[in-house]
Amino acid sequence: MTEGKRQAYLDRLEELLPAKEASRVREEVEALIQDRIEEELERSPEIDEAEAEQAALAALGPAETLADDLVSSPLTISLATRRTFVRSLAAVFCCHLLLSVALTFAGAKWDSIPGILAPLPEEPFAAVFLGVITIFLIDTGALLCVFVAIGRAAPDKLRPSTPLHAGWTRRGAIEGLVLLGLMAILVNLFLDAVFSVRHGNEMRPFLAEDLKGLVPCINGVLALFAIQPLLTLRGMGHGVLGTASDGIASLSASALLVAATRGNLVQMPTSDKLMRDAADVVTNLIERVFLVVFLLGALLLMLRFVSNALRLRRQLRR
Amino acid sequence: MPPSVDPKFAAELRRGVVQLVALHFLDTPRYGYELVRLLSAADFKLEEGTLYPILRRMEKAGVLTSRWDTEGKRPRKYYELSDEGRATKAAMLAAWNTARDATDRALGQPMEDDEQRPTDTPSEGAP
Repeated sequence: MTEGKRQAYLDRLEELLPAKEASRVREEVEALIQDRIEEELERSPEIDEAEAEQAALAALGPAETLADDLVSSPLTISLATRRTFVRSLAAVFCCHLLLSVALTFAGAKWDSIPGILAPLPEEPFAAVFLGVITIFLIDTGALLCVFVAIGRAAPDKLRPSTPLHAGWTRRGAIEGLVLLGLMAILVNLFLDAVFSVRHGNEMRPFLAEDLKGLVPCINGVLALFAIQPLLTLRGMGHGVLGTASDGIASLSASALLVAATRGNLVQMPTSDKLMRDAADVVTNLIERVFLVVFLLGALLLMLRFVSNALRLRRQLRR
Repeated sequence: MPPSVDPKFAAELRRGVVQLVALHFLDTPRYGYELVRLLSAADFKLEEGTLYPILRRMEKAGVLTSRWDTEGKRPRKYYELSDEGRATKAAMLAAWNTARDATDRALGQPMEDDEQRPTDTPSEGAP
């Protein structure tokens, strides 16, 4: 019985320690225990060996605590890191969940990014609930890996600087408006010219009508994005109105990108040089590229929306 | 009734000097539990679970050397100061003396060596 407790303690300690130190530490701790037992028995002859051993093990403390103290560089996670992790997780989870909900409402039938971005189950409720939990677990695991690799600066290093960011300065606002203007011109006047392929002597556009039909919505989103830079030029870009408009624009753009994935994106024209089968393969290939770009863009814009929402909440509290 | 000392304060004070006291005792080879007894007798009550990691860290840092004595009825590991340990102990002792003197000065207590008093204080018998 006596040897049992001692051996159990030493076994547990050895199990917790790195392999190269474990057996050496075990020998040393065993010697310490023996010394203490002898001392206890000499000091108090009325106690038995089991009680002396109990006292010796109590003096060492739990094996887990001792192992922790023996490790050369114990892991300490600072408060700032913990808070940053929790806030980042909240933002990423909201974005991921919103995108999944959007895909569900858009009627997607398969994973957009297998294993990571997919529509939620529609029934039963338990499956929907499990789907939400799964999203949370995926995000927690992914963010944990990012923080381990990059550290607390992860959110700052990873935060995307989207090309539509109007900036907080007048110069940034002017640059943003110019960029939005150029995008509006491209979308409205040069879409077919840019997205076309050469067939013999002529250029044929390959964007599908479903996608081109979204041009009015794109114009609307670009107009929403223009609000904050205009407010910045009037000295009001930092306020509630600027934050809210940018948030709404981000959300709208994200929803638009998701909606765009539902219809046909590409229709590769056929000719005597590009037969139907080959055209279908090329169409599928380009559509997959568009799909990834659109969904990544939607995710980044959703992150921007959540960031604006959190900022708006702070502004409204003041 | 005077307020009692916050146990954390006393513990922090002890934690700061226990390593120096342990190094002092390790001028001669000692085994683990022997050191526990000596520290306890000097009013530094330290359990093996606290002392052992300290000894291991000091050994890893090169401050202590160790050897197993297998001649007795059972093997015992003895620790002793290394040359580097002696230098470390001297440095820690100097730091301790500096901190003690600074504290005494701040609290207005007389220092052990009266020659170290500030010179603006007139000594007895001065005209």
